[in-house]
Amino acid sequence: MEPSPAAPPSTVAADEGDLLRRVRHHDLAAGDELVRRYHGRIYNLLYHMTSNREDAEDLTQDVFVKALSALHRFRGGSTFYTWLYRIALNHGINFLKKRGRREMMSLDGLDPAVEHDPFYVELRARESPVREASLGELQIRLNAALRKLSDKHRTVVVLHDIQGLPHEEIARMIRTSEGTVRSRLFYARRQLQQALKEFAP
Amino acid sequence: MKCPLGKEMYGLPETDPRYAEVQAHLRSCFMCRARWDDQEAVRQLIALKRYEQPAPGCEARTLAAIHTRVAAQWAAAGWWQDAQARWYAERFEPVRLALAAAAVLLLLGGGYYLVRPSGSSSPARPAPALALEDQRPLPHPDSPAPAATGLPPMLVAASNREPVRMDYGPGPSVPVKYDY
Ligand SMILES: [Zn+2]
Repeated sequence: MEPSPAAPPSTVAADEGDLLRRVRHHDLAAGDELVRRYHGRIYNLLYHMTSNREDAEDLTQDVFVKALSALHRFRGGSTFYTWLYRIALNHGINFLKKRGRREMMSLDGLDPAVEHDPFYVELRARESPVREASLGELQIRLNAALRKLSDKHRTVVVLHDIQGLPHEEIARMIRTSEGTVRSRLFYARRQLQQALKEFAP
Repeated sequence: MKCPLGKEMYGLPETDPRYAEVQAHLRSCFMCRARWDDQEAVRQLIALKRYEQPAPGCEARTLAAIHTRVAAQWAAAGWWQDAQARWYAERFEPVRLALAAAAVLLLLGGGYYLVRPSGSSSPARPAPALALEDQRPLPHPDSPAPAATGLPPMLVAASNREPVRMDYGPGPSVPVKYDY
């Protein structure tokens, strides 16, 4: 089954306001519920930003601890989801600046469902190096290419191409225009195409 | 439509008013079409990364760690608030008590002024310092004693329409702030 991209949680239960109010009153059960709701998206964001699962796990913890402790500073000017993503992005990018590019990759496992992905099936059917490459090799190449991008270009690729967020939502998160988001995406994909030229047409 | 298409035109959503025009251009321009297809192919290739999934147990582990850290932070915050409250109580309770005692004394003193027998002469007291325009000639020793307390009348604005004259007496309590 194809994992669905992380769409903005319009379907999130309407009781989120109540949940946030309870967290502000230091209700731990409400805090757990909030973490459960957003853990997957935040972990994935940080994993794709760092290509390192241990770092992503540590950063995810830090982001939620920071968000839950600073919830009184969330004034509702954006959705909680956007606010949380901003904290995660700031935290992740600060971490990457300190870490540099020396850190080894430490990759998550691939869902076997990838073998049935229509694009992957088509790629393998072509006369392309994908036919010869193992899934593991492809995964390493994708991560290595993504790590070569600048932080701002990797950010839009992760948010749009991997997590499936619309340009409009990304523009709000990183406080820029939709046009700038699309320009960055265009440039980042050109870079990725260079780095992955034997896989990408 | 400008050719080649601007970078910000790639991936334009269908809801954008320029979308139809861009699509029409792509049907007629081989170069822009090829760039568009390249962009789409890279997007789909990198999107394969979404099949990378955290190991089982990652969520439960993270949830437990966050729970522990947040609980410790909130407990520390609660302890800090309690400690602050205790510190304020120890520091300012004597001041508060002294102020309360002073207020009671003032009230009692003011009450005595009101209920003392009329006609009795005022005890000798130093005249209050008055502004120049308030300095009136002292009354003749033979003139009748003033009916009220002997202090100059004070203007108190009871409403913003008509100033009301009020003699000195027990005044309203002055609110004291304790939120230092
Ligand atoms: Zn063109």
